[in-house]
Amino acid sequence: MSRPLREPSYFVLAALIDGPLHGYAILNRVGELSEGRVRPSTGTLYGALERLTAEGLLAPGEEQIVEGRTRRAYSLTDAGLAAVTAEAQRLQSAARVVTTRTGAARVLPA
Amino acid sequence: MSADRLYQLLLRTYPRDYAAVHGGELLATLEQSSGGRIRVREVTGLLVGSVRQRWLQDRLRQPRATVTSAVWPAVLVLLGFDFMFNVASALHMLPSPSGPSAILQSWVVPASMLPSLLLFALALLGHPRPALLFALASYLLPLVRDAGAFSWSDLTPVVSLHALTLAALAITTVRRKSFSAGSWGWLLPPALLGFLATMPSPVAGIALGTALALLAIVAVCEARFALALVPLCFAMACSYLTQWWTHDSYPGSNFVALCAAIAAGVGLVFLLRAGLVLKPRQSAASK
Repeated sequence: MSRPLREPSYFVLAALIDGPLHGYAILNRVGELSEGRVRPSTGTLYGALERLTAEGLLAPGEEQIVEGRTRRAYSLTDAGLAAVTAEAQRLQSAARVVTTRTGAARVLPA
Repeated sequence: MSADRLYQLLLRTYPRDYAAVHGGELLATLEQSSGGRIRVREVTGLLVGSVRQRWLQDRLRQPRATVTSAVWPAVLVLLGFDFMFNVASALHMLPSPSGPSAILQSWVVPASMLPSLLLFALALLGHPRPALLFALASYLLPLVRDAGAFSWSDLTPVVSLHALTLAALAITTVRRKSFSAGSWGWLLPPALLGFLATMPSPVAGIALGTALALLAIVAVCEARFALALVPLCFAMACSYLTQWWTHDSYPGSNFVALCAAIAAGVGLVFLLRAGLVLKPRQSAASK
């Protein structure tokens, strides 16, 4: 059984499901998907990108110059897609443990 | 200082090969995410990111590569310390400007630090063979010259700092690997520390404490830097121990013994830190 993904890594992988993105676009997408809850700094983001690349979950593209800025797009590998899907299922089943019971639970008055 | 300049400086704390590959895209992303301003979270993120990147590379590096890549930093640390010590000694011995021989001595005394300056510069430029030959001459000639008036205390630097420096230089010469030249700016830290060491105690203490803290951070970041600091720690311990052994009746002998114990203890901690990285890699490779 693979170990759970950390929250920033989970959202970075989730941000790349729709297609390859470069660093700044990943930052924005992570912010959108987490509704502003996860906003990694640039140094933290690149640390996560390097670690996920070393684990084979991401594949970096070639460096390009776009509008005078250096860019490199990162894309999800098959292993990365499997890891983020497994993590989503784990979170879903963990959430179900609570949500299925709280609906029927009687809350005692304070 | 502009935000771009600060971020570029902080990027230099990353491993050189990582910065070469990802530096451009990282700075471009920073420019957009920070809006061209200095942001504390970005500065913190870069510093933490550089430490994490060094840890990551430390785990990926082969144990043999860790050990061999520690030799050249060890040479620079030993020679840098020798240079710092000579700067402090030369400045301490400077005569008062009103003395009759002031003009002559003000030139002669600082000249005593020139050999260590030249050695450190040769090492910085990546020339181990000339540095080894020059070190042999500059370390051994005074011993031959003063052979008649031999005392155990004369051997203190020889058995510790100089012997380790010669050994490290010999290893780098035998390996015949070309070493990339360092920046001339690396001459400044030991020179500045040597100068600050002659200041009154609060200034000298703060400078020494800051330098030790920075060395500890560097040693924590990468096992090869921890290994590179071990010879200096043991050289200092050996030097203090010899002082304590040869002058055990003078009033400060307890303090000298304490310094020897601290230096040896720090050396052991650095050795343990390097060993923690080397050992799991060896066991993983054997699986």
